[in-house]
Amino acid sequence: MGISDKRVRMKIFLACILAALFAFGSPITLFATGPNTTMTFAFNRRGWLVRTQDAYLPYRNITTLGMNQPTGMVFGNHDLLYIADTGNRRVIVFDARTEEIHNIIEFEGFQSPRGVFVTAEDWLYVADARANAVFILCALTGEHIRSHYTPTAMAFADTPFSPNRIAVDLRGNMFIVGEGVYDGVIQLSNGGEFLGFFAANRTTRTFIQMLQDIFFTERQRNARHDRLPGTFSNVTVDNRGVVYSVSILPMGNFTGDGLKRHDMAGRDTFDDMIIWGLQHIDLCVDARGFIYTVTPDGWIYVFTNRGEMIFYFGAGHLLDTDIAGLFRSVTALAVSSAGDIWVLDDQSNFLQSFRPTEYTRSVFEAITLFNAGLYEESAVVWEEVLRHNQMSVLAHTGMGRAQLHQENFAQAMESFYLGGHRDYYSTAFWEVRNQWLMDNLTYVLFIVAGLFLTLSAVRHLDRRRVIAGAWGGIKTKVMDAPFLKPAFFAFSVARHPIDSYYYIKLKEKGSTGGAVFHFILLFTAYMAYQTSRGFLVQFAEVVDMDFIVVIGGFFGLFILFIISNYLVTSIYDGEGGIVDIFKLVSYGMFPMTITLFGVTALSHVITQNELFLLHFAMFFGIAYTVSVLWLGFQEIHNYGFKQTLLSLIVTACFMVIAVVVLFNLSILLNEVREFIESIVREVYAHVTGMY
Amino acid sequence: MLRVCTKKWVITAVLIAVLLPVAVMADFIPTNRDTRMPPAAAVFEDITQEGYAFLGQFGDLRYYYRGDRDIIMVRCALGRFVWRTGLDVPFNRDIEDAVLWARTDEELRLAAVPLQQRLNAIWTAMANSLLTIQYFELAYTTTMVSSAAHDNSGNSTLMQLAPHHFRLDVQFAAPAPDIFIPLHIYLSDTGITYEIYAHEITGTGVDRMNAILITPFLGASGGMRRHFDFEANTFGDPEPDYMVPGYAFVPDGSGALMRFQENTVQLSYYTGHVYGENPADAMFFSNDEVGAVERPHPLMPVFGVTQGHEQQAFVAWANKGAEYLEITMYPERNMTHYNFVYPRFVKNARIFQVYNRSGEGFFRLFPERREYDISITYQFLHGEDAGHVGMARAYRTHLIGEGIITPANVQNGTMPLWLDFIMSDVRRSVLGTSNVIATTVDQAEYIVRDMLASGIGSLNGGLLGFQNGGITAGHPARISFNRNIGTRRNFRNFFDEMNALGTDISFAQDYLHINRLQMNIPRNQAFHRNRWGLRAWDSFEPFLPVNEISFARPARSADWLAQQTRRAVNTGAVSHTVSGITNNLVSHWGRRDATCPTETIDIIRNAFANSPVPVNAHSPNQYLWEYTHRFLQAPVFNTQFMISTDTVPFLQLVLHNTMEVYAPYANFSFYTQADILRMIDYNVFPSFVVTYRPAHYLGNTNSLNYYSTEYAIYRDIILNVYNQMSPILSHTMGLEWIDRRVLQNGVILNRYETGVEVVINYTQQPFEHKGIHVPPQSARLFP
Repeated sequence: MGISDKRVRMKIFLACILAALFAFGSPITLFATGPNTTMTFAFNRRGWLVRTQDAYLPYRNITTLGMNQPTGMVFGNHDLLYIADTGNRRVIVFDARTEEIHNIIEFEGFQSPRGVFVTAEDWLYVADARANAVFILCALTGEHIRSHYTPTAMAFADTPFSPNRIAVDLRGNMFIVGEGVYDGVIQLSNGGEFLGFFAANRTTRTFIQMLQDIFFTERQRNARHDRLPGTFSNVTVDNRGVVYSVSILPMGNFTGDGLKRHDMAGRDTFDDMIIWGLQHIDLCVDARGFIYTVTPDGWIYVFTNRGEMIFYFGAGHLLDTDIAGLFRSVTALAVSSAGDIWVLDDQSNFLQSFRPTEYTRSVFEAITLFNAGLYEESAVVWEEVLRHNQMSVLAHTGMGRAQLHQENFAQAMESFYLGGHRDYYSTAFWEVRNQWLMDNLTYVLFIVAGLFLTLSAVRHLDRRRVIAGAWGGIKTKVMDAPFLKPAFFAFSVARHPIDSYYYIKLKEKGSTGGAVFHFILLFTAYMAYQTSRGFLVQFAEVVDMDFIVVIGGFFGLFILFIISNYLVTSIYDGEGGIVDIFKLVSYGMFPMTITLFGVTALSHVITQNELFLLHFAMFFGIAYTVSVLWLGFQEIHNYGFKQTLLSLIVTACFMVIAVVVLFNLSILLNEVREFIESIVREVYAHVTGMY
Repeated sequence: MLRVCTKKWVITAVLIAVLLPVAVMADFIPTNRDTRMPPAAAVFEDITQEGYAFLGQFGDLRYYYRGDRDIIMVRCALGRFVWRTGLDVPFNRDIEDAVLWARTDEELRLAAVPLQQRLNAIWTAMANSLLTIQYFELAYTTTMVSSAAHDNSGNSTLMQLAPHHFRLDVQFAAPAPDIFIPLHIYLSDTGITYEIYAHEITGTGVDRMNAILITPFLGASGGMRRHFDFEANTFGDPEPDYMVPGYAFVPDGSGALMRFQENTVQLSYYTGHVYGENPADAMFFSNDEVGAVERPHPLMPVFGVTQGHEQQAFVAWANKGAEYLEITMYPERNMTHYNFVYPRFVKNARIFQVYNRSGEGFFRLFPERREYDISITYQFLHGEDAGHVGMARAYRTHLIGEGIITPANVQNGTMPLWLDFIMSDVRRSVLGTSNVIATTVDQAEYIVRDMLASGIGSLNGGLLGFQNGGITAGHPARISFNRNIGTRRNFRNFFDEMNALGTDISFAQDYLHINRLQMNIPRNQAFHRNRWGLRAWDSFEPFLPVNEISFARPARSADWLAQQTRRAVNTGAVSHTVSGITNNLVSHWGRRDATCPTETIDIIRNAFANSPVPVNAHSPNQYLWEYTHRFLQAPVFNTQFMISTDTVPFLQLVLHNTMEVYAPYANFSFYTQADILRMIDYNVFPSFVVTYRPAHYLGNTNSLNYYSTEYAIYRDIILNVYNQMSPILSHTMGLEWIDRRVLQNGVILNRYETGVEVVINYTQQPFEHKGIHVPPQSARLFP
């Protein structure tokens, strides 16, 4: 279910930014409070994050552990939760089933235990940043087994060794997130030898940063912190030994390094990762492969094993008010065998848990069944998910995939449409179209052949050209009608631009009315193209469009171009007046009008395999229109090639300058308005004694 | 064959993996959304009247007063309970001075009483006093001073004006502001009433007064003290005092209990703004910090404390000034080592005065302080009444006496179901907006007929988005029919048909939240104290037609309600469904037409009273109950503060049989078997919101939060919920709800008059009551 389209990705990024906004405020709800204190969001069919059925409910609040700035935690065997109680220099072993402290592990070497990991063999690994060590203890008794300190390998050089978080794979190799290490995750063998930096985060350069690289001095460049890659915040290993990591990325870092699943060489295998720029602080992978991450302000994300976000939930409020489900500063998350999510807050010093709702259980079940290849069974469960949320993209897409496998292509198409999934929609549509062609091609061919034969027969019988003459008369009448003739002249412009523009210049053919008609026709074609293309190529729906920009931009650019060109060509001895230029452009855009209508219509019957046809048609239409306009400019202004090129370049520059000036002017006027308003308000407030 | 077998194994394995979480839920561990077993029996220390003067006896209650600490003692003549309005503890500073100056062992023995931990002079004065005020210092930080202050900043004199009427004259002076407050005290055979009249409050510092707190430590439990070590001749380490088992009750949502307990971490306190936080009086005029999930607010001005198991309790309610009341509960280890709950009447507050469109401004106090009278009554309870159920009974009796609710308004019969229909809403289109029709009037009629034919005995409901513009853009004063939804004739026929079927379906409208698609906002919106129009986010999704909303002026809302109900009656509707103004108290601070919260209440109450048809209200505040025909969206949970330990149906106990009370929609996160049981337990009737077309049609409208509504999907669910609940609640309708007890964690017994009982078993284990088996996750009627 990869969302590959760049526009959708961009929208998802914007949605993520909006999600971040929820940390500061969120909408008023429509109906009375249910059992939840958090909200759950998922992507809608167009990639926006919208509210969905509650995924988890607050369950337990454990406030009696007496913790002091706890930092990390992990589930071991038998649902024992190991909590690094950093401030108290100990590890609390908490039994999530009985909700009692099972054991407290205090080891004299602990100085600041932060990261914990428990292996299947009940070995407890503790990352201690201040002790610069990794301690290995028996998870059941707390007995010390061994410790690993700063690696002595040459390759490690003077890298600081302050282990913050740790994970251990099936062979005992340790993956350590260290403080102040940008080279990547430190990998140690089970004997403690340094094996290298397992993975590293990337940096990206924005356009502004590229300019800075050109103009800044080296010292200035080094002072910029936004060039640093994201820092690994946590690492874990699932029950198959696969390593996952989360990172805190600086603002503007769109590398997709927020959550990664690593192969043996440390490369990211989530090529479709769609969550960018978020501050994930911890992660956990459950036995079924579902991935859970959490941000410091308490947003909890749940992903499939392929890295697709299922939903995220939370309140996103960093409040001083202690309410179940809300946090002050989250540091860790763990998932029990029952599927409960446990979350640690280092400022509140307590533990909270969330229990999955029926909705979440259904989603997990459906995904698991589908991944097991049980498509029919998964379709039944997806129906259940849709009962809970009829807007669920995941459910519609899941249903669609199940229907696709069952060869119910029409229903699959509908599901993929509702799920907003173009790749699969195209596949289903291809099948449906193919079926239609198989069923109807014979009839279509018969009709075409019938028409052809009828036409031939008429021609053959009409030896005296009675019918042809009558038809020609009607055609001539229509073409010569005073109000239609200027409109039909656009065909001449498209076919013989030089002659046609010559006649326009002489005012013998074409008219202002005809030009206005074609301008309106162009606008109609443009609006149809913007709003009514087929689903496969219509990335922005009507509700997503800002029509002030769409319509205003069209008219603004058109008018600005005509005025600019008129002013420029007046200086450069152009012969065309402003009305001539308007006619030139309106008539000249006729090929584009045809192209836009054609592409819009064609987009409804093609699949992704034939998208090149649309691109080709568009390219051809643009090229043809540019050619016609070019010849028009030469003819109307009586320019040669060089003059035409120069005038158009200057026109473009003039347009840019005009836009910048208008923009600045609007800002200035706004400032003046605010200034005057402030004065009036101030005077009013003083006169009325308001302050 | 092999393939089929493999498939079966895989399915089995997957289902085991998925259902494992359900299997391990066998033991019922109550969360703070459940009610736990009652507290243990308390052991009370002997309290003498030493140092107290006798004020009088009324009924079984004897009243005493201690002048130096401003404490009233209430002693039951039958020995059932003793209450003191304050802790009655000396100042630590005085103790330390006395110990320092003790010359003999005897003097030292007398002087060395334990020191209170975490109670400085200000907090000790507050813990003792009848009256405490919080006031603003120059930098708008708040501090407090009490009537029995250690220094001369608070002095009080008690005067008797009549046998049952006393007046405590409290004079605050430097370093506190100069404020004089007479506190009227009325003693009775059930408890005490305190009154403060706005016109009697005088002094040059009145405007600096932030809030008035009355007997904040009444019923406080806990404490930590340092006892004197006579061998070491110094005070020892702090030791916790006996924590009286019990809880504070606050009207958070349906009702919350906050049990007294020692904490190992500092938990934040609870504050509930009675009738909700007024956005026009909030600190900022732009409501950008709305909670992620709507948090319930107290719908009624009541709270209480229980000590022990069926031993002693009090319930307190505000008679006047409720709209300015905040109920606050402090847990142990937050500021002090005591658990205590108190009423806080807010007089003045900080606001952010904005002076330009960029939002720049400065902090200041209200332009004028709030002028209102305060009246609060404390009623003391004992025995079986000493619990949250007894408090609810006492409060219900009080409301019935005041005529706010009327008992026996709900008759024996068939359990009703509430069905809201979303008819339409708007989405953005090329030219403005276009209607998205989710249910036509004919489809609504089909649904009603289908429901009735399927065995629903009684059905009522509302029509949301019934007019052109739908829920979002429909004007609240008009009824502008859209032929695609239904013409006027269609609606008239519909209402006629519904009346013939005995079904009450009404138009539903929000009269508070307004947006630019509906009307000219500046002319209709309420203004903040800082004179800027109120604003709030409705959604962040840029593809929706409305992102920002405002709140209507109270007079406008009332006017629209009057206009629209008149039009609705002309169309044939027999009732009207109202939301927005029902549970949001929004005042208006326009220059010419300012409306304070008290006036807002009067305006909205009058609008309800003058409605030509009965009004169904969404979760209405108490001041509207007198005119509420049906109570919709009744809260059945609380905010879930960490200090909340239990959720109780206090609201439902108070309202039972006075009106039909409906639960929140069972579409959204309130659909499990436990939720059905909760509705039976809380005596609330089910409600759903449905559409004829799939909900995804609303995906581009502001109603996108209704993500699961299609009738075809919900038909069987509605019938299942109804068929589970109706056999029980149809029986208990019209019967007095006498008691509610927790038999064991997860098992509730509701008792009604004539001996009818209902056992609700939330657990995964069967339960036996009177020799009859109650299966797991079910409820059973014992007629």
